[in-house]
Amino acid sequence: MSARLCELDGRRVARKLRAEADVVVVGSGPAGATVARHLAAQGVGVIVLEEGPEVLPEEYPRSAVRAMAGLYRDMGTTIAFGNVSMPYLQGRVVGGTSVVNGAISWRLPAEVHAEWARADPALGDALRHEAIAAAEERLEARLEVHPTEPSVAGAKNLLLGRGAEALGVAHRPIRRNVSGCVGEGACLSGCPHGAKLSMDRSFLPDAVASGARIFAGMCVSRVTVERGRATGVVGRSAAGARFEVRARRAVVLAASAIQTPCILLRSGLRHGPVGDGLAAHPGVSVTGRFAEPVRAWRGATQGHEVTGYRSEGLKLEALGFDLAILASRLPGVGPELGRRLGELERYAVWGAAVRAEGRGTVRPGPTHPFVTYSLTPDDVKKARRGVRRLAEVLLAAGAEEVYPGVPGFDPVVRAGDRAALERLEREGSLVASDYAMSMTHLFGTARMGSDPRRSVVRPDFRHHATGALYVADSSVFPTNLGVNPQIAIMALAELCAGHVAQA
Amino acid sequence: MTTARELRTASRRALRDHIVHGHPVDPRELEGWVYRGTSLGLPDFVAKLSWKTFQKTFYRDPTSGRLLGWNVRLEQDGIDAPSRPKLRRGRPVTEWHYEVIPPEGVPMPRGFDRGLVIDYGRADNPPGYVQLLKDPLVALAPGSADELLGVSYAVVAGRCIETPTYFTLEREARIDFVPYDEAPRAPRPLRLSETERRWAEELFAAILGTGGTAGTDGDGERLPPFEATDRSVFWRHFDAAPAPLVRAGLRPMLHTLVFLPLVSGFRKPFYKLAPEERARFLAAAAHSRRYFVRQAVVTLKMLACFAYFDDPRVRAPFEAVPPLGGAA
Repeated sequence: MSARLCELDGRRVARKLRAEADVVVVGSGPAGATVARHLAAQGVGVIVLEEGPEVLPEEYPRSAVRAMAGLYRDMGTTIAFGNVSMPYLQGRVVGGTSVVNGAISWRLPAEVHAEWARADPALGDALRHEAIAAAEERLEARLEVHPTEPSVAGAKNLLLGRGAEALGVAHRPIRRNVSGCVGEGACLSGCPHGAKLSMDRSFLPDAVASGARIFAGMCVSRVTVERGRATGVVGRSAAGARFEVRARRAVVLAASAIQTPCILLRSGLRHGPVGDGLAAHPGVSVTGRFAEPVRAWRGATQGHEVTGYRSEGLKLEALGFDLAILASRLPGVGPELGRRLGELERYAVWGAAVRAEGRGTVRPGPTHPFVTYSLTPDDVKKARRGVRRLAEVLLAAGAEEVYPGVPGFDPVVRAGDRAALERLEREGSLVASDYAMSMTHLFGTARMGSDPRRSVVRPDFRHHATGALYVADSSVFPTNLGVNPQIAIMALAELCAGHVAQA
Repeated sequence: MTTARELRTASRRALRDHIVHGHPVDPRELEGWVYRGTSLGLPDFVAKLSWKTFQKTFYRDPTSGRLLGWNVRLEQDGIDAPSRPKLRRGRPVTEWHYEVIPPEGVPMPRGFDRGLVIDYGRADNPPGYVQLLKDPLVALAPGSADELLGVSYAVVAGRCIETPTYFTLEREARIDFVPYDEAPRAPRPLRLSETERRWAEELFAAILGTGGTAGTDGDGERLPPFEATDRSVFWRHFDAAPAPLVRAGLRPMLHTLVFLPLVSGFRKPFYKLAPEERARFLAAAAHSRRYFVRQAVVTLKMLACFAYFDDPRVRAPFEAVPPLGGAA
């Protein structure tokens, strides 16, 4: 049995609670855990507040419905409304989304940093790419980031490599923060072997060992501000009791690009474009059927990627799902679906993350945030091209059939029919809602910048208008990245922690 | 110090004073206890028509950490007679479920925030006025939760309306009966009714098309029909966890798929269609030009898969495939 990290479980906090620390960190995901670890190692007294419960690897449920109910916010039914309604998934558990992601580790692309610096030279000067890269190197060493070994990749990942190779497109095993992965294929439900070095298995234990305190089941509603300085946070425990945690030196918000702007807005901190400019990576997926068993529920959850289409704003990945989600991606309903369920082991689903230009908003609602997000016409074209590219790679990998799933277009494309895919890109729908999409990697709702009118936090991560208040999560990113952001988020969070320590 | 027994003869004004000047209640002192309740302040004829004594319980739900409770109906043997719960099919009759919460942020008459609040709107009660009611609760003695005083008020369109239904609670016994087989359900307005759930399950079964000769697993074994699977865990989670907008959105989707056959050539609602008609209707709906109809099929298909693959018997043949690294 793994040791528990949390000093308090909000489900048992039934009376008003007061606590105090040098720094209060809101959120225990990659950003919050990184800040807590860095500060605690320097002897700073830290309390980390996490809304979700603490769940140990041996307690992770096996079925999708139980995992989503226990580890995800609102059972994974959080939705952004716009020209296409898209679900976005967030972990709600100690360790945050790192517990339920694919462990994919990418560094901040140099060209993205260059974009930021071009748009805001003062930001580029203050946030040097070399400093970010150095932080990424340190983080990757602790998290044992390395390419997925072929022995645990499984057929779905190896086939993606085979397809890309046949097309002559750049591809590689995905670099992941895992240690001792056995290819269980359960990353999205939390690794039952504890092999994924998610925050609850790495940085949070480090932070606790250095003296940090973690309170689970504590939902922060707002930041308290006195004479222009953040002095702490207030909220409710899972059992309904009020709590107040005072911060002697600083409050650090690391609650995600959805929750952080909501906390700011509920606190009356409306400075700058807070809650605006939500950026993301919408994704499309295509299912293919192979002659041989793929058993997509086994093997590294996401172990291989095609990088050769990044110039088109697309990154292709093999996807590993629980049986329920895999089954829901099969084409057809009724007897057709029943027949296909009987050959479930022959299907693979691959996805394309789109570097979209679309933007959205986040506003706090009475009980839940209200999130909007709309794709631009160019984004829809990229999504359509993504469907084509996925189908091409599936067929090149040996799939007998692929199912583009675009209304008004051939429901099945068979091997050898590349012309159909070219036609899809020429004639396929450009209506956003014709594409079944989901949204991952959320950014930009408390943007960083040097201009107080166009940003929420300064290049040193401090709120423009409120002293001792910092934002450390992906809310501060000026744009999306086009790649999986976990390591970049952590690198920026470490830089943020450096500024907090000096404050 | 005033006792619960002394309050039996107190005027409504005196009872209200006790609510306003009562003592805070530590919720941990309530957990796991049954309290004997006595109605006060009601005219005699009202008390005769309803009940004079009852029980209230306080139960900390281990899953959510919420402090919950319910009323237990008692046989009206007399104000000082021992508690004798009314039984139905051998189980105590429970009603008026509630959650106990701190008063902060709760709309209430001025001065009613001394103790805790029993909120009937936060639990699974039948639609009706009970969901409008809240009971502030104070202790009669400082530092002790052995004797409590409460009163009901209603919140209607943001206005608080006081009622004369005061009651005392006296600590009686440890809880020995919990009416929830699993975690308590979400408040009723966001939950599908039993009929709607039956419709949903018929749609799930038709969408999945398992059973008969259709579905077989990798070894050629027939997958169990949807109807033979255990969906209880799925429904328990679905009632409690999803975002309110999604739960609210499921109802129009479900009704659309149930009643669309009436106006699309079948002239019958979905639940009256023969199996082959169901398959034809769903295949057409899945390719509908209308986004909402397509989306309804996609959503119910996903829920059907969640429900079906939650059953360990369905998962077993697939999970028999060992992880690649050998450790399972």
